[in-house]
Amino acid sequence: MDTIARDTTTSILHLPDDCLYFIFQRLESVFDRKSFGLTCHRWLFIENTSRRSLQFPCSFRHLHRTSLSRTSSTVGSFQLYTMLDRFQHLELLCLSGCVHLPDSGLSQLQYYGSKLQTLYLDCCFGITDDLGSMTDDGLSVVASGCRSLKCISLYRCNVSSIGIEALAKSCRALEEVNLSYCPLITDTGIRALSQNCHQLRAVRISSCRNITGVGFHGCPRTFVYLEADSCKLETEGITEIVSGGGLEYLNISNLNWAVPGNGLTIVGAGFAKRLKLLDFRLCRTVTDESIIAISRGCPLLQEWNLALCHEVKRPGWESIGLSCHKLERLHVKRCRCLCDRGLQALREGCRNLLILYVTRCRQLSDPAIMIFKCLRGDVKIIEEEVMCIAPEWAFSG
Amino acid sequence: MKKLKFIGNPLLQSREKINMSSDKKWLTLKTTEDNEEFVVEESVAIMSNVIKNMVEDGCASSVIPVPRVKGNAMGKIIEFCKKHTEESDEKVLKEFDAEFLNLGPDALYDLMVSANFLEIKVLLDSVTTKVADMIKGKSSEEIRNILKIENDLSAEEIEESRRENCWTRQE
Repeated sequence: MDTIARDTTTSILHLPDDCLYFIFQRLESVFDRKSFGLTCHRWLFIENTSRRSLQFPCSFRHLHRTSLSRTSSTVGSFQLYTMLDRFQHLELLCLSGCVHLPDSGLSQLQYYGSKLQTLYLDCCFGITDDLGSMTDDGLSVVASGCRSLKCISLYRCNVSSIGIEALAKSCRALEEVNLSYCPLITDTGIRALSQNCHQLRAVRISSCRNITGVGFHGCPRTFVYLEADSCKLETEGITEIVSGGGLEYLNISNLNWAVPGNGLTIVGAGFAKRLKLLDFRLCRTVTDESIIAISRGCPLLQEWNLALCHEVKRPGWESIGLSCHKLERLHVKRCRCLCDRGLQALREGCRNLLILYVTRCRQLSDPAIMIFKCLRGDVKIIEEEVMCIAPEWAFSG
Repeated sequence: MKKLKFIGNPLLQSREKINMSSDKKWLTLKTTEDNEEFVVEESVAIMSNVIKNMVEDGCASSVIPVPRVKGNAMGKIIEFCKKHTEESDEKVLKEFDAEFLNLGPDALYDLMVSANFLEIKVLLDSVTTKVADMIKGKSSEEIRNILKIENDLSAEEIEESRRENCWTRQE
């Protein structure tokens, strides 16, 4: 029975925008959303204003089976201009892999970037911050147009500390910043982030050879994640890195030889009490003194990668066994000075250990490993090397 | 002559009997467009956020005027709210909704506009889902036919939009 239809003259034209948005939101497939948009002007408007994220096929952030076979189309300024003009309420924009995109391509962000929260510019080699002029370069457009930005990724971009400073002073809500392989960045840029972005959570500076770490002075307590592998950090720098008191994940693997072995002792001095994951892989000079301090000073440690840390000897292993009560995963691959007594100390301690990554430790005998397996059946022994222990609660977008 | 509709016990004949009969609170909703009155339990009426706020703020008098909603739409809405207040079995409610929403597009729009205006989330969700289901898997042309929408996009605009859609990644 359709009594209503007889009396009413309501048609689709009378529906308020609210209702159209509700209907649109119920459409999950790309096909349906695109069909919706191509129905009439008003529905196209609804589609355009509902869109919250935009990615291009050349983007490799989310590598997909089909994207590998597709020839990478060049995304130029025109395409980006058109897209930003059409979708004016974006919260996520992924331009990673748009290697030819110039600074001018980002100009629309001045007008339509105010809601943007996440911006990926990985390998956008054309984006710069021109040290001479502060007005036209890509990064200053981002700084002035995208003040709600929370997450930015500039992997392999030609940007320097000046651009980062401008960004930090304008985008104060920044939480996650990826500056890996940006060789021009120095401590000045890092300092700008530490002191202006009070919600700073996660930073990546892998292979940034000009950062010593002193720029992290004044970093907020919200700073929980740092990936600084293959950097030339200095002892003072490491002190500043832990000074915020909130760090939970620290990766300083492949630390330059310039840091003396006991330079890492400061990590155990009390500031890094919340540390849960620590990656010292290839820190060849880290000494027992540092290991002992850290095992005592970081009671929440759950995972510790000490692969190729050749200077850790029996006192170090004993300290880990004795003090690392929460340790669940330990990596000791190719540690030259892990001997049978050291393994025994680990076996008799570390009550919560779940996984031991061990292989090619030349001082370890097979019987010692057999005894470990027998007496600690609760611990899984894995020989394959795990290169990355980064948690997923940052940079996961 | 004023029409008085009783949504409740069909044996009761007069408003006095309803008022005396129970400790349930009753409200009268009057659609101002066509002056139809509906007597409903408060627990049913407050499924509408708008009416709920009025009651809580103490602004609701004995007769609550409801603009913009026509009498027959109001009747349907009250029927829906009553069922959803009385019944808690999800399966039963789903079957009821499917039957209830077995209407043409115009009737659905009417319900949608009223549910949106009265802020009845459950009804709005059901109706918008129903309309969305009607257009899922359909091309734009088919959607226009089903919902009687006039195409005001030019061929160039459609082509341009399609081309632009290819530039971006399928999400």
